[in-house]
Amino acid sequence: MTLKRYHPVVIFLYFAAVLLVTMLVQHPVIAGISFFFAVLLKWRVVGVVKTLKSLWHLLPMLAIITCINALVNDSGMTVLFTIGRRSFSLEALLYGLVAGLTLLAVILWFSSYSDLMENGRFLAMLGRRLPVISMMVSMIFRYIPDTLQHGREIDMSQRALLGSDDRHRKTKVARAIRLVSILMAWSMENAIETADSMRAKGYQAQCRRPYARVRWTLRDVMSLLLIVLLSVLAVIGVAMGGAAFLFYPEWFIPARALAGGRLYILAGAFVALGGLPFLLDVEQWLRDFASHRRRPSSCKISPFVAAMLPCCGSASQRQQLP
Amino acid sequence: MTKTHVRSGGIEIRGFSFRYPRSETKALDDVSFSVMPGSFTIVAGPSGSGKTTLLRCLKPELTPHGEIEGVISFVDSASASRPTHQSFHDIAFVMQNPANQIVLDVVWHELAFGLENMGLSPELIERRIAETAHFFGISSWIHKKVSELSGGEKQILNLASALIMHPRLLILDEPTSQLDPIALKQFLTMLQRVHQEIGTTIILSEHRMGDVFPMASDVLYLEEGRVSFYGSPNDFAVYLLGYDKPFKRSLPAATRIVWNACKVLDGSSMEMNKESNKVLPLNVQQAREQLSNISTSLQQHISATEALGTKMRRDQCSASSVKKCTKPILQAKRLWFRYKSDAPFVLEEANIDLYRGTIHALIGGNGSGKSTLLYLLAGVLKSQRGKVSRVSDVKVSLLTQNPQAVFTRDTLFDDLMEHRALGDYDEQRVLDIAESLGLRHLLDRHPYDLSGGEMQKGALAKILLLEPDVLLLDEPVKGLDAVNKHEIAGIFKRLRDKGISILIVTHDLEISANIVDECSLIFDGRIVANGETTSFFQDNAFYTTDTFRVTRGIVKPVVTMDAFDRMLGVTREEQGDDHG
Repeated sequence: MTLKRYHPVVIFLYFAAVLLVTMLVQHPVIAGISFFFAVLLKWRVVGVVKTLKSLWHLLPMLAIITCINALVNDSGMTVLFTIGRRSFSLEALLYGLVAGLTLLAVILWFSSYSDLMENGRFLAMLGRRLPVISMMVSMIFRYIPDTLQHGREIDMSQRALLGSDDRHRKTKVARAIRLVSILMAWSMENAIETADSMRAKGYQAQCRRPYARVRWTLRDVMSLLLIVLLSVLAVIGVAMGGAAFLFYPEWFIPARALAGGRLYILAGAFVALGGLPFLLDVEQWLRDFASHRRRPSSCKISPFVAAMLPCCGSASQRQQLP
Repeated sequence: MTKTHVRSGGIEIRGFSFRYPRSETKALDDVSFSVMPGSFTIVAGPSGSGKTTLLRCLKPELTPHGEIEGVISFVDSASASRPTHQSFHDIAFVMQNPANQIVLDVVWHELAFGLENMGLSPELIERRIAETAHFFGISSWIHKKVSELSGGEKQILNLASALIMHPRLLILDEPTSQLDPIALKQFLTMLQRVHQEIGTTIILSEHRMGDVFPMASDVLYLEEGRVSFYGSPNDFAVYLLGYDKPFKRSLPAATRIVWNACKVLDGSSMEMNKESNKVLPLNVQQAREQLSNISTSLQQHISATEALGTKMRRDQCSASSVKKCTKPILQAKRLWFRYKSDAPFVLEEANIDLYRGTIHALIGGNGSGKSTLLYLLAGVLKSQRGKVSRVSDVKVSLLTQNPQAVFTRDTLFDDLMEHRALGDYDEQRVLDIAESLGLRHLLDRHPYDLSGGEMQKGALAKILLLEPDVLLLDEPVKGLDAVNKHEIAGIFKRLRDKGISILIVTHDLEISANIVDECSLIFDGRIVANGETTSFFQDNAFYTTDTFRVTRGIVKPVVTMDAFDRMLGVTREEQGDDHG
C-alpha cells in the first residue's frame, strides 16, 4: 500500500474527502461506489482474511438495517408483496439498503484510516501545532502497554502467592479493586522515574522545539492537489444537484441531476477519488516493474533509513576524531 | 549550542556532604574526589552506602532535596581546569530501570526527545538520530514501538538517547542490574565503545565488578557515605581482599581464587601485595595463567590438607542421598504449553521432579520457558498436555520476578498481615519472621521504599507466613549486590534445613553452585540436562561457574569458592556468615 508512505496530511485529507462525500450524499450509486472502494482498500491494507472477517460482521448489519427499514416504512409505491394488511415496497427496501451501505462504507473507511495512520503518524501531523497534546498522547501510548503488562504481572503474582486461583471466588471483586490500587501505586512510583528522566533530558529547559519526522515530497504535493481537485469536482457535482435522488413515494432521478451530466461528473470524480490509492499503487507498481529490469533484486529500505545512509559514514568518522 | 563536536568534561568535588530532610545521619559525608576528563570511574559500595545519592548530586537536575555542603564543579577539557557553566545536555544520566526512563512511545521519537528539548533544528535532529542509530547498531528498530523491545534493548536505547545529546559526562546508576548476563555483556560492550571511540567521561555505579573492572580507570569506594578508597581497579581488589571486606564478594571468582591460593601459600596477603606489586587476574584466562604458575606448590598444599582429613565429602553427599529414598513432592510430567492456540509451544515435553528439603535450580537462557514452567508448577497456568502432580496437602507458593507486584498495603507490617486469615497466623508470628529475616526495623516503611534486597526479603517473609512446603522463586537474586545475594542464599539454606523444598529460576550460576542440590538446564522448551549440582557443573564446559573454569585441569576441579577454600583448608567465617 503506497498510500501509507504519503504525508499524514495527505492521508488525512484523502479520508476526509471520501467520508465527506459518502456521508453527505444519499444516493444508491455513490453509496455503492463508496462501499466498493472501502472494501477494496480494506483488502489492500489488511489482506483478504481480515477483510472477510470484518465483512462477516458487517454484512448481517446491512441485512438488519435493510429489513428494519422495509418493515417500518410504508411510504413506497412499488409494492413487492403483502403480508396481511401490511405491504412491503421496493422503495423502502432500497432506502434501507442505501443507508446500510453508507454506514458500512463509513465504518470500513474509518477502520482503514486507523490501520494506515498509526498513532505516530497522526502525532506527526499534530506535532508542530499542538506540541503539548501530541507529546501527552505519545506518552499515553507509551504508558498503556506497560501498565497492562504490570496489571497482568500483579494479578499473576497475587494468585501465585496463594498457590492457585480457585480458592477465592468470593473475593474476586475485592481482589480486582486491590489490583487496581496496587497498579496505581506502582505506576505512580514508575512515573517519578519517568519524570526524573524527562528532567535529566532537559524537558524543563524553555527552548523545546518539537521535531516531526515527516517531510513533504513532490509526490505528496501532487497527490494532495489531485485529491483537492477531485473533491472540488465532486462537491460541485453535489452543489449543482447531481446527487438528487428521490426515494419516495416512487424512486426516480430528477431531471436536474442528469442535466449536463452532473451525476456523471459527480460519480466519475468520486470513482476517481475512491480509486486513487489503487492508482497510486499501480503507478508505483509500474515504476517497480520498470526498475526491476535494470536492477536484479528489489531492495527494501525505508526512505528514512535510505536518506540517512549517505551521511552516516562521514559523520561517525568526524565523531571519532579527538 | 548547536556545535556537533564532542568534548569530554570532568568533575571536581570538594568536601561534599549531603543530608536528606528529616534524617539524622548524613547520606554523604565529606566526599572529595576529582574525575579527569575522558576517564572511566566506577562508584562502588554496599547498598545504602550513598552511591545513588552521590551520582544524583552530580547531575543538577536530579539533585535530591536536602542539606548540601561543599562544592561540585564541572570541568571542561577545553577550558583547562576552570569550572564552566554546564547545561542539561552536558551531563547525561542513565538510570537502573530500563522501562521507566523511556518517555515516548516510538524509538525515533524517544531518541529525538532530548534534542527537541535542546531546541535543535529538524535537520540536525535527523542527522543526530541517523548517526547515533548507526553507531549503536539500532537503525533496524528505529520505527519500533518501545514496548516491543526487550529489557536489554531498552537499556541500549536509553544509552543511545543519552549519548545523542553529545554529553561531556555520562553518569550511569547501576544500569545493568535488571539485565540478564547476555544483555549485560552487550550493554557494557556498547559502553566501552562509547568510552574508547568517543572519549566521553563515564561515571558508573555497578556491583558486578568482574565485567567492568577491565574498562575502568578509577574506582571510588563508598562506605556509609564516606570515601573509603579511591584508586585503580587493581589496587581496589587488593584493598578489598586485604582488609577482608564483605564487599569482596562482588569481585570475580577468578580474582578471589588466585588471591586465596596465594594467601595460603605465602602466609600473609599483605606481604604479597608489597612483594611483587602483583597484578590480580580479572578474568578466567589470567587466573588460569597465574594459578598454573603456582600449581605445584598448590598441589602439595592440597595433598597435605587432605591428609589431615577434611570434611569436604560429608557436606556434599548428604543432600543427594536424601532424595533417592523419597518420592518427589512436586512433579511435572511431559508438559506441553503455549500461551495462545496459534503461538508456538513454549514447553515441549518438560519434566521436572522436586524433592522434599532440597534446593533445585532451573537455569537456561531467555525465552527458554523457565518462568512458564514455574507458573505451571504453581498451578497459575494450566498445561495443554501433560500433568503436574503434587503429594496431597502440599502447599505451593510462587514468588514472581518483581517483588513490587507482591505488595498491596501501605506499610510492610500491614502487608505481611494481609493473609492472616488464610495462613492462620498472628501478629507475633509476623514479628518473628520479620526478626529472623532482619526486617524488624523496616515494618513501618512503605514496601516500595525498601531497597532491592530488603524488598526481596519482605516478599519472602510474606510468602513464608503462608507456610508453604514448596517455594517456587523466579529470579530471587536478580539485581542484588553480592552481599545481599549471599544473605538471601543463606536464608534459602536455612529454609531447606527446615524441610522446605525450593525451586529457583536464576541466571546466577555462582549462587546456584553454592546453595543448590540439584540443577536442571532448560533449553528450547525442555529440560536437556539434570543432575546433582557439583557433577552438573563439572559436566558443562560453557554453562558452568568461573571457579570451575579456573581450577579445571590445574588442581582438582571444584565448582564453588567454598569448596575451593575447603580444599585449601581455610574454611572459616563462611558458616558464621550464613547464620549470623
